[in-house]
Amino acid sequence: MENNDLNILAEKLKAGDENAAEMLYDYFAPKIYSFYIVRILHKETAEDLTQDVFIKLIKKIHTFDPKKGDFAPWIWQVARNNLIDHYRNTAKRNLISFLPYLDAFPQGISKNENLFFDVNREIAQEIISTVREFTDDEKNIFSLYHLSGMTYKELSKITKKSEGSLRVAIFRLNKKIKKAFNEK
Amino acid sequence: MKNEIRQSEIDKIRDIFAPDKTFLEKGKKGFVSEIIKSKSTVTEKKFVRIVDIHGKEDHIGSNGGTLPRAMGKDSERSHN
Repeated sequence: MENNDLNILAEKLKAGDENAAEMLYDYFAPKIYSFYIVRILHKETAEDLTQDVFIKLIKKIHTFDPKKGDFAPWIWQVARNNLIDHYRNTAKRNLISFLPYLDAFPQGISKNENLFFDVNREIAQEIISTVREFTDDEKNIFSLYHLSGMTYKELSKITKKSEGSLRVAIFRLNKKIKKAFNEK
Repeated sequence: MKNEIRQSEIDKIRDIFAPDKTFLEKGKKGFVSEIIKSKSTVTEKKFVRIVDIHGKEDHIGSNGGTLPRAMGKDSERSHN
């Protein structure tokens, strides 16, 4: 969907348009979930954070102004701030360590019907192990480029990195991913 | 290119990290219903503002008119 179309939908959402709400949800929810699952590797937390973004969207949509910028970078900023808040809160409470995240993900994905249908479990584990080793920056680029299917241009706007540096980063990521596939 | 990932491999990666369909459906229903609620809140606020302009402070009836305060008290009495 083009930026202009998304801006129009966002304007309609401001007016409480249900169809616009459904279309924006269908477009962004899977992408935002992918962004979180790659960063956190915990299904339930990724779902919670995805829901938070849409709750915040309801509260903040009145502040969106297409004259100041497009809706897509705007909602991605909400998603990233939400992740930062999550890290702050978990660090403050010190209740959730990162170890359960690492252990829980394979159980989390086992609930996903698609996994048994399409993906070999060993490949899945190898990919997850590879992604686990990515830096935060690499995880962002991986989820936005490979999972959300963004173009270099869109990615550049959101990550504020040049298209050239993104191409290099994706080339390196692909090398690691390819290795994971080849090892299985 | 040696490091180019095939579409079938991308599809597999997407399957691994795909959200649960039930979660998405429930989330969408919740989101849309909240949008509807927020819309009704805005209407309510506007409605209150119009009443304020006219300076009417009594309860507002469903027909848009005002109900005398005593009516509320009467109905309470009838229940007692």
